[in-house]
Amino acid sequence: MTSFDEGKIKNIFCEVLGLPAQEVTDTLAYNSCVQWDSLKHLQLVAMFEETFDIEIEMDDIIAMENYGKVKKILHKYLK
Amino acid sequence: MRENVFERIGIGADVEEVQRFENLSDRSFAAFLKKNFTKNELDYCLSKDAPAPHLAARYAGKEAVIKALFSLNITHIFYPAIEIVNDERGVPNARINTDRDERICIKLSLSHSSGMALAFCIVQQEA
Repeated sequence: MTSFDEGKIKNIFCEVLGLPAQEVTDTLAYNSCVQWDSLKHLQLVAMFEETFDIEIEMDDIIAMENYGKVKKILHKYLK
Repeated sequence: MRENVFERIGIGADVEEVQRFENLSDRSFAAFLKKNFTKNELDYCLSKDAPAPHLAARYAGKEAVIKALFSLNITHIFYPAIEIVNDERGVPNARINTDRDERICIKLSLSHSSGMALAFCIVQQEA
């Protein structure tokens, strides 16, 4: 397991969703971002798990509904 | 009192664009496949000359199963636990790989053209 690194989280969002860094803000949300659908959500989760060597619980995967929440949830796994 | 049989039946459907499943060398897509598909599923799909329609159909199948389960308030089963394998006649069946006896019966239909993959699922919860 590696430590919390917001830069890496943002880079994963940019890479998977194809967004510029300035568009990845705390309010970027699953239900309002056209690029962020269920397939991309699972790609994001797979990248977090691989990059940080963690296993994210199903309830947390479902709760990752915006970038702010994603950071908060990943913080639990990455002390 | 007569039982409402629909209370124990869930349905789910999904449609996917095949081209989204073509880039096997993309690292986030490869990580997604590794985490959400079983070895049997990957062996089957990757044995095809064009794996993308088969990957898309299986992913649509998993989505359809999850939607049907959620409609019955069954929320603990996620993508990696749903394995879609063909029987000897080529009919797709969804198997749930969990530690508990789920007491559900699943019927699944998959279809794909060159561009789109579609899945429809019915789940019956045992009484």
